[in-house]
Amino acid sequence: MSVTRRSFLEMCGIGGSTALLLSGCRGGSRALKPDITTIANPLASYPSREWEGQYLDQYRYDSSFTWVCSPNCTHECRMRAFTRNGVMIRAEQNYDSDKVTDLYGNKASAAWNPRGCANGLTFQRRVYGPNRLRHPIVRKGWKQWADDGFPELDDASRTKYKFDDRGNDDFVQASWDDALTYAAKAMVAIATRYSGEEGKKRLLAQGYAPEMLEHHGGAGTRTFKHRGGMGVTGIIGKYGMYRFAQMLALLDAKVRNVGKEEAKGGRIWSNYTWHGDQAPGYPFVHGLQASDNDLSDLRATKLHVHLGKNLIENKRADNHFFTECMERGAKIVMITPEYSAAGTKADYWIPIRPNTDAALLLGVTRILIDEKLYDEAFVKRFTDFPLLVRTDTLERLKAEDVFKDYKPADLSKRLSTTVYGLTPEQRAKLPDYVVWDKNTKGPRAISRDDVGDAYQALGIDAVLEGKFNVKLAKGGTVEVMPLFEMYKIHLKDYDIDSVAEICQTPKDMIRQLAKDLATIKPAAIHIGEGLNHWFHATETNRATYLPLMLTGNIGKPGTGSHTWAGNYKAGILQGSHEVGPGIKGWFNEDPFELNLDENANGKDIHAHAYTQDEEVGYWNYGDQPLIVDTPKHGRKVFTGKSHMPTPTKLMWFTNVNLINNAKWAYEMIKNVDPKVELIMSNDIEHNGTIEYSDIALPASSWVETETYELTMACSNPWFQIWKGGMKKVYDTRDDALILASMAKKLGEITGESRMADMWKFALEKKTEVYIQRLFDGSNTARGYKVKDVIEGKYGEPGACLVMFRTYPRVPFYEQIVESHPFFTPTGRLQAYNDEPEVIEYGENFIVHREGPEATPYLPNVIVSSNKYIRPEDYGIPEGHMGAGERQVRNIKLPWKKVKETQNPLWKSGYQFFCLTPKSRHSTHSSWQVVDWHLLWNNQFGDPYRTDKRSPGIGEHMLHINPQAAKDLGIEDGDYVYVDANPADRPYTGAKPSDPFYKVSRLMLRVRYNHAYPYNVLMMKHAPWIASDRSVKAHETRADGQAIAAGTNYPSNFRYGSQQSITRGWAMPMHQLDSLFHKAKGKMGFLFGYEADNHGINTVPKETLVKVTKAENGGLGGVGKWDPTRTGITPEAESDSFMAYLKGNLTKVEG
Amino acid sequence: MGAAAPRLQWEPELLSRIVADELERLAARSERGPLTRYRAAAEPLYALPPSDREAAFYELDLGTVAMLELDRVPLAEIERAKWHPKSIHEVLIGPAAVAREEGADLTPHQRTRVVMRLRPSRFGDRENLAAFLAHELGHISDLIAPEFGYSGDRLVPTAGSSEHLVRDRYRAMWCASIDLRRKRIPAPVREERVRAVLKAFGIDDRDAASVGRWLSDPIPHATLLSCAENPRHLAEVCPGLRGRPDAARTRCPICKLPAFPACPPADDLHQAVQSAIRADVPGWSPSDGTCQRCREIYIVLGGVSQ
Repeated sequence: MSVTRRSFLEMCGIGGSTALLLSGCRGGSRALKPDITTIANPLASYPSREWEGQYLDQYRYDSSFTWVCSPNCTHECRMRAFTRNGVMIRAEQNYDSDKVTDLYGNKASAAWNPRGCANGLTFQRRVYGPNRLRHPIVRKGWKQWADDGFPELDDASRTKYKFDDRGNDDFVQASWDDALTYAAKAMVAIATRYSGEEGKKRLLAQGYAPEMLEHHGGAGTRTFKHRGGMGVTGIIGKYGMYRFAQMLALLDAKVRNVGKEEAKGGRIWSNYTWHGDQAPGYPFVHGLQASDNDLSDLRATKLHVHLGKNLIENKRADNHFFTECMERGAKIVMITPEYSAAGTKADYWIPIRPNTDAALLLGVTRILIDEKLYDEAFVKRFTDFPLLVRTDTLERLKAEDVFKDYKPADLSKRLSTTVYGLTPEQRAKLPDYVVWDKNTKGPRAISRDDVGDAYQALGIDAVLEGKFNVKLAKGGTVEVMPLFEMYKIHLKDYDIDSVAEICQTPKDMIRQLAKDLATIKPAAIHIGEGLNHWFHATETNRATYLPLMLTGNIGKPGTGSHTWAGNYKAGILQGSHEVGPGIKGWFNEDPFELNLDENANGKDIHAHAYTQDEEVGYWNYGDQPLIVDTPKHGRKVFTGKSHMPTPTKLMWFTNVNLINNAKWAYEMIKNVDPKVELIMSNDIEHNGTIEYSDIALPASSWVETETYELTMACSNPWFQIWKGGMKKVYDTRDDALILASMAKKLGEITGESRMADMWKFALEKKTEVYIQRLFDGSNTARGYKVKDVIEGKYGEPGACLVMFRTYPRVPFYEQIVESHPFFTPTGRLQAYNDEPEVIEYGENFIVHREGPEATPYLPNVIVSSNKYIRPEDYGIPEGHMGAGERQVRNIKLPWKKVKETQNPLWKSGYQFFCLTPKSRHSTHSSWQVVDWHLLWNNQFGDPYRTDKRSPGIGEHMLHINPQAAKDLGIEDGDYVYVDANPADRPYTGAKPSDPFYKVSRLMLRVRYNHAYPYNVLMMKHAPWIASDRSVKAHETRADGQAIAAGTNYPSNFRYGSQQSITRGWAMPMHQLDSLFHKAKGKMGFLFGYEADNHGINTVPKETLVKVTKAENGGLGGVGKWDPTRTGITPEAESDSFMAYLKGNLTKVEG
Repeated sequence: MGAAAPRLQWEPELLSRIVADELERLAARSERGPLTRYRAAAEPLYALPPSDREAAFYELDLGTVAMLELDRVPLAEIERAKWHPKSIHEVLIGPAAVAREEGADLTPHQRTRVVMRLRPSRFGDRENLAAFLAHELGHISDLIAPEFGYSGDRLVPTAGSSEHLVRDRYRAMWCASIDLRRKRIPAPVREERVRAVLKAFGIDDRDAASVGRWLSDPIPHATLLSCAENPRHLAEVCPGLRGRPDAARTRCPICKLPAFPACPPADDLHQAVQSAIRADVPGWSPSDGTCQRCREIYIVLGGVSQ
C-alpha cells in the first residue's frame, strides 16, 4: 500500500495554493465492522444507559449558600448558589422578601417575591468566564518606567514607556506583593513629584489651567483620583476606595512633612452624576439629590406617566410593579420618541421629538393654568408660585428689600435647624421672602419654614396673580409679580400649536395628558436615565414637577416625579447630629484619630474629610474645566470654584469599567490618558478599561468573598449583608483586602504604621466591625446588631429592613403631611431659580432649550420671547461651532424664529438622533460579553458564528427606521458606519491613516425597526469597546473573533463602540457655586458642588450622527442578510405573514 | 496532452467507505452478491496481525473499486483534464467530512501531485461527481499553467479583516472562469456562476452578460487578485464595466475600510485638503478618491470650509 491515512494527511498540509477552497482534513472511521448479529445480547453491554442517570442528576448539588447579586442595577437581589464538588453550577432566586422585618416587626410587601433576573442566574458564567482576571498584571512599559525609577515624563519618554500607546503594550503577570509594591512606590513618586511649588510649576508647564490648582494646595495627592464604582453596591469594598483616598492624607503628611491641619487626601470621583444617572434638575426644584419612591409604590398610582423610560426592559427584578398598575386600573401614558416595549402597555403613547420633553410639559402646564385646573391651596402652601419676583433684577423679592431694618425670622428652633441641620452661617445667606397678602393687601414676609400648616398659621392668603409696585426699604419702587403671574407670561411661548410643532406631537394628545393630570389622582411621572442623558436634562427634570406642583401630586403614595437610574443612595446611611456620622464614618474616618476599638460605637467615630469630591466629567472633558474665550468678556471660567478639578496623574478605581464607559472614550485613550502616570483598576474581569490600564488587581466575585459586605438600594427597602460561600477560583482578593493590602504596603514603604491601622479590621478579615459602626451611626439602621442580622434574627440571614418613615418609602412625605420645609432656599418646591448664574444663563424660568448638538435648529437656543428671561450670549456669533462656545452661548428666540434656523451639522447630513438606552440583557457593561446573554441581546446571536465577520457569538446592533435606511441604500442586517461630528469624533485630530482611527470608528449591524421615527436611531449602551488588541485579533485570528491575544479581552464590536460618537460636555447649569441644597449623606445643607448631588452629568445622547453602509449583511459580506429571506422580517414580509399581522390568516366562516 | 495520464491513488479510509456504501446500495437493490463476496473475502483479514490488516484491506478495497467501476469517473476526468505535459504524475483522492472541505489542491512542496478531497456520498451520484471533478481539476489546470502565472504562494495573501471578502471575490471569479470555459456547461450552472460574481462585487444584474463574456476567457491570477482586492480594478479590466468605477464596490484608499458607494474621485477638494491627505498618505492622488468620512475629516484637518 503506497498511501496511508497518515501520509495522506501529511500530503494535504496547509499552505498550498487552493487551500482557500479546502480547509481541514478529517479521516473517516473503518467502514465495515464485524457483523453485529454475532453479538448475542446487545442490551447486556450496549448501549450504555449511564447518560440517563447523568441527565436526571444534573440538578444535584452538594451545598448551597446565599449571596447578593450586586451590580449597578439598583436591585441587589439575594440569590442562592448551588455547588457540586466546589463548583457553582447554578443559581436561583431566594424568595425571601416576605420574611424580612425591621426592629419593630414591620415588613415589606410579599409581592416583592421573587427577586432576581437573568444576571444572577448566569453569574457562574462570569465567575468561570474566559476573560476573568486571574492574577495581578502590570503593563510592560509601565513596569519598565517603574524599574527605571519613575523618571519625569515628556513626549519622548511617554512614547518609550507606551503611555501614549497602552493598547498595544503587553501585560506581565505579577505576584500580589510585586504588584502592590510597584503601585505603592508609584504613589509615593507621583505624590512627591507634584507636591509643593515645584509640583505646581510642573503642572502648569504641562499646560493645565491655573484654576485647576485652586484645590491642589501644594499636595501631590490631590492629583490622585479614586473611584469606588457605585459604592453602594458594596459599601466596604467599593466605597472603601474613598477611605483609601482619605488615608492618603497620611502620605501627604509624610511627603510634604505637614501636620494634619494641612494634610490632604486624594480626590474622590463621583458615580451617579458621572454616569449621567442623576436627574440634575431635581436639586433645583426640591433641593434633594434625587427623588425615588420604593418600586412597590408604583402600584399605588392611578395615573402612571412614563417619560423616556422603559419599565418593561429595565428594572428587571422589580418591574412587575409597573405592570401591576394595569391590574389595579391605573391609566398608563407613555411619552417616548419610539413605540417601545413599555409603550405596548400604555393606554396611549405620545410620540415626541427627542430632547423636547420640557416643551411638552410646559405646554401641559399652560393648559392647567389657562383652564384653572390646578389645586390652588396646594400651590400656595407648598410651592414658590406665590413668592414675589422683581422684574428689574429677576431675583425674588427679599423681605429686607421691602421692610426697613428687617430681621430675618429666627429659625434656630425650627425644623430647618433642629431636624435638617441648617447652620447659622447658611441661614445668614438665605433671605426671607415676600408674598402679596390678599387679606392685608400688602407684602408679607415668609421664611423657608413657613410651609404648609406653618404658612397657614401666619394667616396669610397669598395672591397668585397681579402686578404690584413695591416701595423699597432703601428708597424707590420696583415692579414685582407673584411667580404664578410671571409664568402666565412665560407660558405664552408654549401655546399648543407651538408645542405641537416643537415636539412633533399631536395636539389632542397634549390636551389629553393635561386633562388626565388634572383629573386623575394620585398621579406620578417616572423618568429614567434616558432623559438625564441630554445636555438640557436640567430643564426637563424641572419641568416634570410643574404639573405635579399644580395638581398636588407630591408626597403621597402613588405620586411624585421619580428616577432610579443608578444605585447611588449612600444617603440611606444618613448621618445626623443625633446618631453619628452615617456613611462618612466609613470613608471619612480621621486617619490621624483612628478608633481601633473593635467594640466602638459608630457614633464615636471621628469623621473629618481630608478628601475632596471631584466630577469624573472633567477628566472626560479633556482633564480641564469649562473655560471659554468669549468675544465680549474674554477668557471666562464657567466651572464654579466648588466644582474645580485638579490635574489627573493617578487614577485608581474599583468595580468600574471607567474608560470603556467614558463618553468620548477614544479621546480619553488618545489625547488625555497619555498624561496620566498610573491607571489602576480592581475588577473581576479583564474589561475594556483594563485594556488601557497600567495595573490590574483581580477581585474576588460576590460568590467568592471571604469577608462580609453590605449593600442597599434606592429602589427597595432592604439592607443586605453577605459573603461568598465557595473557594476562590483564582488568585483573587476581596475588594476590601486589596485596598487594605495596598495601604499596608504603602505604610511599609513610607514607615507610616497608621496606614495599616486604617484597615485594621479588613486586614483581620473582620469587616463586620465596620458594618456595625455604619449601622450605629445612621438614622436608618441604628439599633441593629450586625451579628443578629447575619444570624437571621430579622427573617433571612443577612437581611433586615431599612428603617424609613413609610413602607413603601414615599419621598417628601414629611414635607406634605407634616409641613416640613423642602430642601430649597425658599423651603418650597421651586418653579423658579434666581441664583445669579441661572439668571445669566437664561434658565431662571423652566424653559425649553434645543441641545448644543442634537438639534436640527440653532444649537443651544432658548425657545422663548419672555422679557423676564435675559440671557448673556457673551458675544458669541450664532454660527460658531466650537463645542465650548456652543455650550455657553445663550440666545433667546421665539419658536417662530427658531424653526427658521438650522444646525450646520444637520445641514451637512448629520440628521439622526441616537438614543442609547439600557439593555434588558446586561447591567451597563456588566454581562455584555457573557455568552448566554450575548446570544439573546441582539438579533445576530449565533453560537456557530456562521458569519466569521462577527466579533463574537453575537454583536452590537443599531435600530433604524426602514424607510430611513432604504433612503441611504442600507438593507436590513447590513454593516454600517455611524459617525458623528468630524471635528472631534471619534477623537480630536483623528487621522484616517492612523491605525487607531480604524480601532475607534464605529461599525455595527443594523436592523430595520418600524418602532423608530425617521430621524431616530437606537443602540443599547455600554457594550465592550473595540480595543487595539481586539481589532488586531479580529483581523488576524483564523476565526475572526475580536478576542484580544494575551488578555482574552472580548469586544462586542469589530470596530469602534458606542463611545465613538459621544463626547464630553460640561453643562454650565451643572456647575453652580450658588445652588443651595441638601447634603447627600447627612442632615445638613451646602452651597454648590457635591459629587453625585450637583455636578456635571455625562450626556451621551447629545450627538447627531450620520449612517453609511459599510458591508452587505449576507454571509461574508455577500448579498442580503439571510433572515430577510424568511418572509417574517420588516419590509420583507411574505403575503402570509402580512395576513397574519393583519389577523387575516385564518377566517371563520358562517 | 501528450504525456501519460497521472496515476490515481486512493486514501484507504475513503476507499473503504465508498466500497461499503456501494455494496450497501447494491444490496438495497437486492444485489447482495457483491456484499456477500466482499464479506467472505474480508473475514479472514480480521485474523491478520494489525500491522498487516490495513494493507490487506486496502488491496481488497482496490480490487472491489475496480470491480464495481467506482474509479471509472475519476479516471475519465483525469484523462480529460488539460494537463500541462508531464506536470502532474499522481492524483490522490481522500476523504472530506463536509462539503466545504471538498476540492482539489496541489501538495505544498512537490506540486506534481494533486490531492482531491471528496465526501464518500459523491460516488453515489456519478454524473455530478464528473462535473465536480472536472471543475476542480480545472483549478489545477490553471495552477500549473504558465499563463495563469501562479507562483506557489497563497492565492490570497493575508489581508486582515478583508481577507474573507477578498477570498470570496477571488473564488467567485475563478470558479466562474473555469466553468464558463468548459464546453457543454449547463445554462443554470453558468448563470449561477455569473450571479455569484455579481453578488461578490455588488454589481447590478444588468451587467451579467458583459461580466459573463469577460469570464469566458482565461484570466491570469494577478488580474483575479487585483480585482478581488480592489473591485474598482474589475471596472478597468472587464470591458462591459469599463469607465464605470462605481459599478463595483470598493475600499477607501485612505482609511482602507469598506466603502459604499465606491469612493468618488476627489478632484473637487480644496488644495489644502488634498495636501492634508497627501501628508498622511503619500502617493495618494485625487483620482484615487476618498470615502465620504475621510473627505469630511480631512476638510476639518485641512482647516477649510469646503
